[in-house]
Amino acid sequence: MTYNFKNALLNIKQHKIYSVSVVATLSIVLAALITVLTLAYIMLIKPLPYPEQARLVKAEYAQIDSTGSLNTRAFNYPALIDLYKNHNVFEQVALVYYAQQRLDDVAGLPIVNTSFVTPQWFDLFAIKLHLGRGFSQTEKLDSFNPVAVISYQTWINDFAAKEDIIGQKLGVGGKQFKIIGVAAANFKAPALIKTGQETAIWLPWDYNLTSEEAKPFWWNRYSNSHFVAKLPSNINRVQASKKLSQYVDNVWQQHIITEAFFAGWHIQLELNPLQNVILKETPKNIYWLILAVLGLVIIACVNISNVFIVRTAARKHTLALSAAVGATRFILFKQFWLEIVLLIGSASFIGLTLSAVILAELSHLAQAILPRASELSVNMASVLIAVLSCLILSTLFAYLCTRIINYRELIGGLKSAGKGKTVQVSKRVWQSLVAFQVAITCTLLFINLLIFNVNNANIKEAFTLPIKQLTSVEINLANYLSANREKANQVLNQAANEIALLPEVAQISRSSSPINDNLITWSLIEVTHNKQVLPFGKAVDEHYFSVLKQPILQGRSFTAEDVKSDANVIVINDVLAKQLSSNGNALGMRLSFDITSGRENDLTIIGIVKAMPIPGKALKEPKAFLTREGYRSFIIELKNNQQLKKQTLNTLLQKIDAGISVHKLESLNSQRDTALFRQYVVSATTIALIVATIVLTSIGLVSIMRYSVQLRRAEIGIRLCIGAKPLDLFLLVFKQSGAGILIGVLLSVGILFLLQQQLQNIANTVPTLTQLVLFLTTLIFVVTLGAIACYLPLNTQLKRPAISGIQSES
Amino acid sequence: MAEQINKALKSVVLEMKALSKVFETDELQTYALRSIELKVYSGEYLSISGPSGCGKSTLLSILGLLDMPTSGEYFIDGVNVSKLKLNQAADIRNAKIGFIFQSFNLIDELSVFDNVALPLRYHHSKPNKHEIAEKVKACLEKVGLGHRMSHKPSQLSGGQQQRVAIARALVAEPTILLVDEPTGNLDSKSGDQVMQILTDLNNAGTTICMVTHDPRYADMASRQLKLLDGELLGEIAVKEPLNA
Repeated sequence: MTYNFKNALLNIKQHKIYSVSVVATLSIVLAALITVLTLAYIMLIKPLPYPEQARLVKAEYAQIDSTGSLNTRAFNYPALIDLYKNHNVFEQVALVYYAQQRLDDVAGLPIVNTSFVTPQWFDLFAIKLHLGRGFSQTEKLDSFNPVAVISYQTWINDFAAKEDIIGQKLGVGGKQFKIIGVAAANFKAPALIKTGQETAIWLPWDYNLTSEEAKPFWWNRYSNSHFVAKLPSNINRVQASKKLSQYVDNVWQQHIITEAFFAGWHIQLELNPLQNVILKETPKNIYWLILAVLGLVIIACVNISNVFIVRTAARKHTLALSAAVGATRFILFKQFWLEIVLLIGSASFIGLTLSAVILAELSHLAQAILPRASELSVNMASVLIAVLSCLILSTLFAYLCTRIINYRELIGGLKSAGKGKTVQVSKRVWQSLVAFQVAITCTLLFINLLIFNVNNANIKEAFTLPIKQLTSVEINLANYLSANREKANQVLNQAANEIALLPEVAQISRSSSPINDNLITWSLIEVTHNKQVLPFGKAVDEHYFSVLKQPILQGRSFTAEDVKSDANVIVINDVLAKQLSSNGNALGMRLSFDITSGRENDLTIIGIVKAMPIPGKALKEPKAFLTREGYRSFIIELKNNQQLKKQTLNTLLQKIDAGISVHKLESLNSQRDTALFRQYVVSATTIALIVATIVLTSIGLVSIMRYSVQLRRAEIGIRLCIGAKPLDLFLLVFKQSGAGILIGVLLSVGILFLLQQQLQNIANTVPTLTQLVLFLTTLIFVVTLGAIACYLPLNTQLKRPAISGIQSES
Repeated sequence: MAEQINKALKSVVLEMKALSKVFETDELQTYALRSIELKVYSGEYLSISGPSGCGKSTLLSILGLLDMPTSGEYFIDGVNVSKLKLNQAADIRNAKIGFIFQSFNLIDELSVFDNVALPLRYHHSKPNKHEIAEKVKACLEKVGLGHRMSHKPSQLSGGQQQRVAIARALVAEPTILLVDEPTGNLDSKSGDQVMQILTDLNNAGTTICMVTHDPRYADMASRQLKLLDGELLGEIAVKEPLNA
């Protein structure tokens, strides 16, 4: 064993190019494999860091309309409280209301994420405390105990990690709370709504921001409130959902019986596993990544196989000697295995190290788009993947090397050395290698090109938005203004007017930026035909379309008078117009939130605007706009080459009213880039995969063809002697590889056919013709790659005297 | 004198003027051929002999445009072919030169027919299937293998394989046959058969230039050249060539 080990080390040392090419190729590919599989382990297999997480569910209050279609998913306040009190199914339940609030007593008045929760929230998620305690029965529903638990980061950042924090007062959004606990540093709150969402402060549910007017309403289109529960071990999700749907529907029907609008509607209580809620679309992306990386691994393995085959062929004399002195096939296998395991072991180690770096960077950079990003790091699963990859690949390659040896010929190899029959690879094996390369390459290239195309179109479209001069401003209101909406509106109107007079400013709209909108759907009915539509709704002022340069296709925009009088008019985009009328001519149609509320409440469509592409969203959505001033948001259009500083704006605002200040000032360009972050990551990933695929395939095909041409040197020499021209020989080699290439292309068509449904989901916006062009481009590229791979080694031989091929053989 | 008159009457097929071939390494220059002056006449049977490593095969490679000289000039049918491009050299090899090697150099995967037909498939005249079949059949019959057309080379004996190689060399009706140790891999009986075919071909007017170190076969040529250390030592005139 020691002898074999020393021998293997010596072989590796003596053949540096061979060793480096194997280790370098596999290091990169194994780094990608370990990273993606670790990602998959954390996302798909590793339990959430909460006790009995498999039984945790989030309940969704699905409102199904009279046609049986899902209208919206949103709890109404009384139904939520009723379910909380009377569920009779769950082992544990907790409510949460998410908000963003100002810390009144902290310098800079930072706005932080707050979560209003019932006490069981702390038990469900086993929140450990660094200091003090969590919520208990003293904070139960309707107890109104003004206490707060702060996160470890908030304690560090905003309270200077004071050890005596417990018992201190904390002003949040104008209310005072007593701090009773600091969460442990390692606690990760579940991101139920948005990936990367964190909670800075937990407050008792009783203080949630649902207005007193909204609390008795049994219908709702949007809610910040959520219901999380733990299922008992003896009942599954479907059973629980069925039982509770019946209950919540009965309760709801009793309360909306007088509302004709909801006739025929019903409620379904959907219970989604918490893991799915947190991961959202990520598993689908992970499966794609696994497929892509496995493709790369296969290409790399084909390349490495080729390197090992050539290496085995080159050492046939040594093998013949070993066989002559009694080495069995198994002993030869062991020799190969030991050498290969040393090489792949090094590659695995380097791959693991690279993967650790990539995962650390991902954990840091991708918090906003990757669920559970904070958990990303090399772990036991990564090490296991590295070790298993090493063992499986080593065994596979050693087996391949042993398989290509003609053991019987080998024993007689010493006397017949030079005839080239002791170590040979059949034509079928070579064609399979070419076919595999081509199939995987075509598939990977096409899918990545498709994803890149879709993504790039989205990015390009976002860059066509005329937002270069636009800045979004969010205003912070003091408590006395928050409590008095009318006064706040007056102050903000005055602020808007005075900002408009600044020399830097071209115009201003009291509306929120379209990029970061968190819009909800409005359930509207076209009153003449009683047709229901579900556009996203937004309140804007008379300047909004002008500031955003959003073209009015038909009709007109809002006027100052419309805004002032709260006129019953509505502007829609062309997407919604087409939903209302197939020719898009919806001007003058009337929409109503509630058909039973009477004609006087109908909204007349006065304008149709061109739909705007929203960065980060694949499709243009139907939208409806009402005449309302945005509560505390402005969009400012600056004059050319002008800038507006937060300080300038704050000085102006303070002069108007001491209770207003700038909370956030951000250019729309910057918002666009943030919104496009996921697209940028996807583009970068697809480009990396395309480049890796091309590089690995090029190396692979060239080395396969080089060896193939090398094996046929004599034949090429003979043909040259009898007058074959370089082109004849190229066509000969290319034609003979053609079978492999053709099989590869057909295989890739088969694979793509199997993935048809999934591809359609990715590329539903890409016209069939474009898809066809992309596929043909891929094919032409791969075939050209194959042709170059044939030409390069042939050209090397053609540069030598024609006689050399024959001489070496004879 | 009669010999000189005879030569003057025949046209020169190949001519080398001050031709040298040097193999260079970092430290060493080795002259494989040095200042070769050579003329081969139409219908001539020339043998070049000499010990191993004297440059016979290098000379034959350059004669067959399989390698290029380092210096000097080389003419085929009066055309300077010393510095041809790959495609031009291929055309001349195909049209004017037929090769016969010691190790036959047949392509294992192709049938006897296809091996022989190969030069025609690369021929500039692009003969049709029928023409190819006729010519291949005629050549194979000439070497006595008309009945083996569908066989693979591995199914034939060494002598038969060499006869296939001769048929292949003849099929494009070349100006000259370049023959490299044609009997080296054959038993004496097969060797004699092959040499008889070559003699018959020469008698029928084919120009042959043969490299051999076997004096018995060298004596069968009408003119013998001796090569030593890359230099032609001189001619040995053969009054009456031996028959095989």
